[in-house]
Amino acid sequence: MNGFEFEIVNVIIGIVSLGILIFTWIQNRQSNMLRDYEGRLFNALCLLAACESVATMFLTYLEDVDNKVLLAIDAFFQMTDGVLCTVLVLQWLIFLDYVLYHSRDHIRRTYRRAYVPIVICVVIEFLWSLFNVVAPKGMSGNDAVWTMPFSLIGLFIELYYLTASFRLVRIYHKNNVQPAFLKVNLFVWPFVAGYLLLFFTGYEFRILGVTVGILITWFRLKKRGRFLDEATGFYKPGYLPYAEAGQKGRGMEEWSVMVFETDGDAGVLAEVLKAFRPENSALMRSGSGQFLLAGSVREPSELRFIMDSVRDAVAEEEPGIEVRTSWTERNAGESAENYLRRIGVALD
Amino acid sequence: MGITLLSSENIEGYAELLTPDVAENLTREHYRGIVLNTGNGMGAMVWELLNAESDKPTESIIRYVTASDEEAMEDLLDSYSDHIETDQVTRSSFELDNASDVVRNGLAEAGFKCSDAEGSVLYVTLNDLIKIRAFGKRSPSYVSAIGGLRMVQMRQGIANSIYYGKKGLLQDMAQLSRDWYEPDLSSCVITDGKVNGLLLIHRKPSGILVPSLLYAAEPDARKHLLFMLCFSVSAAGHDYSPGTTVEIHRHNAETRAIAANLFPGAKGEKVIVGERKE
Repeated sequence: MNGFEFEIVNVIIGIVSLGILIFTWIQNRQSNMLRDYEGRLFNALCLLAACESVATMFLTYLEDVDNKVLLAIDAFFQMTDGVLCTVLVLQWLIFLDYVLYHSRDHIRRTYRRAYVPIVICVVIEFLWSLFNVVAPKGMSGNDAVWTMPFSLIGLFIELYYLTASFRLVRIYHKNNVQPAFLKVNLFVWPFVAGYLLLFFTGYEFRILGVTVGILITWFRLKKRGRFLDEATGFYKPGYLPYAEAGQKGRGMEEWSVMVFETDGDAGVLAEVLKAFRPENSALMRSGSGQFLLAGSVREPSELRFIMDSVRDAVAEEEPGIEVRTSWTERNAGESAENYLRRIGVALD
Repeated sequence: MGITLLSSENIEGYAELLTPDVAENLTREHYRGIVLNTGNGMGAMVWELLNAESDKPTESIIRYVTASDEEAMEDLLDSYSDHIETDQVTRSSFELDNASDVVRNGLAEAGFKCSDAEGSVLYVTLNDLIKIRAFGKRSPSYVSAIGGLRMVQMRQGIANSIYYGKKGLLQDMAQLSRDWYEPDLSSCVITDGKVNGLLLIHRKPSGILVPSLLYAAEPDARKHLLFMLCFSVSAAGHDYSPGTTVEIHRHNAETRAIAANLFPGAKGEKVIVGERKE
């Protein structure tokens, strides 16, 4: 490897990665698929990856250089590149967590100190880099001796976050029968492949692996977006047959549906249902004032409890809105499509 | 025969046959009770129906029996059999402590397979709970007493529990009034404005505290369970005497494991257990 080749390849990698990220970001803006907090987390992910792509383009291969300025600049981009990658993996874990649980409180409580080890690592690496740059006998900017320990620490932190992401999804599937849409391995394998290529070739394929992982993540969520109602964020009725087909044997085939209808302000009913939605259930919008709550509950007293609770909550918010509720038992072995059609719900 | 079906309207008239702790359950949907009070004999029987509304076979758990003599016992059991036939019960069982010989022999003669066993209920004191180090942690601000919840939040928490499949000791949770639970002792976890965990504690008329439901939704379920326990133990420590009895029902594998962990070596009282196919 020579310096020029190193720089050219890294610039190409950086440009390709940046291109993928810009494409993904534009696609998301146009589709408006990931919105609100989820959208902000995704944009942060793209931004971090874009910054790392740019940092990658500035990595140089310095040999026997005494120029302190060049060494300092090189050290800066090396450090930035490494730190950004670690922060990026953390951001992806946070994004995955939010996609699964949609809990801002949980994100805030769990990850508020997650940056601490990264910050400590950055400070130590900065001081160490500074020392090596200003030392009387300067070292080569690509001398692995003085960057390797910190690269390894960064790698271990990243592996910890990736392991945490697998654990997160495993716990999700243990307690939820609905599909998660996101598949952790579709981010992890490109990431690992990028790292392996970096290790074996010396070129910065790591960021390319990460951006491919982000792109695949977005396409997986685009699949979810097909089932989302834009106005409310609820699912469309077509979600139920899709989810059941993908989660065979997990109990969704027994799910039945409570229907809530109003001729009044459907927005109020939607907000109440959103606030009330129990775990292990799905909310769907099937008409301008018609919503469905799908779940495993079938006992009459419990169904009455849910329906009365929603009606009372709506009455508390906006007295005078009438909410009609109904529930039809699903026959054993009946498909979701037939069941929904039988109760008069159109599949989109 | 002189058998009377008990209800919340006539319970007070038979107070001497039922303890207050037993009597209060007769206000609940799935509890049934009969009383015999003739010149010749006295007795009472209370049982709980399980799966009365679901597709699963209905079962009956006899919760309380008392009889003055064998004839009274026989009359009670005959009436019991008639009632459970109406409710289409397929299996009866019981776990009774302090059962008299009249009760024990009567059940055996009625076809129940009886044996002595260790009771599934552990009786501990509040002081025993306070001494547990893990419960000494300070709970965060998002864990609070259910007394501060609005009705819609309380119902949302219960709905969450129902859909999560966790009902604890409260299979009629959807029908119980909020007053059934101690408002300052029972605790909840609020995440994003929603109730994501509940520890519901019922106080019997005799003063015994009964944790009846403990659940928390993911993420962070384990952490939240612990925090709710810390909160409730701390609250109980302020409001109740250390000698207050707490009834821990080891009704499934999870609760048995928790009890074994918290109170290693603790044993339930001697009881008789039995069952009968109907």
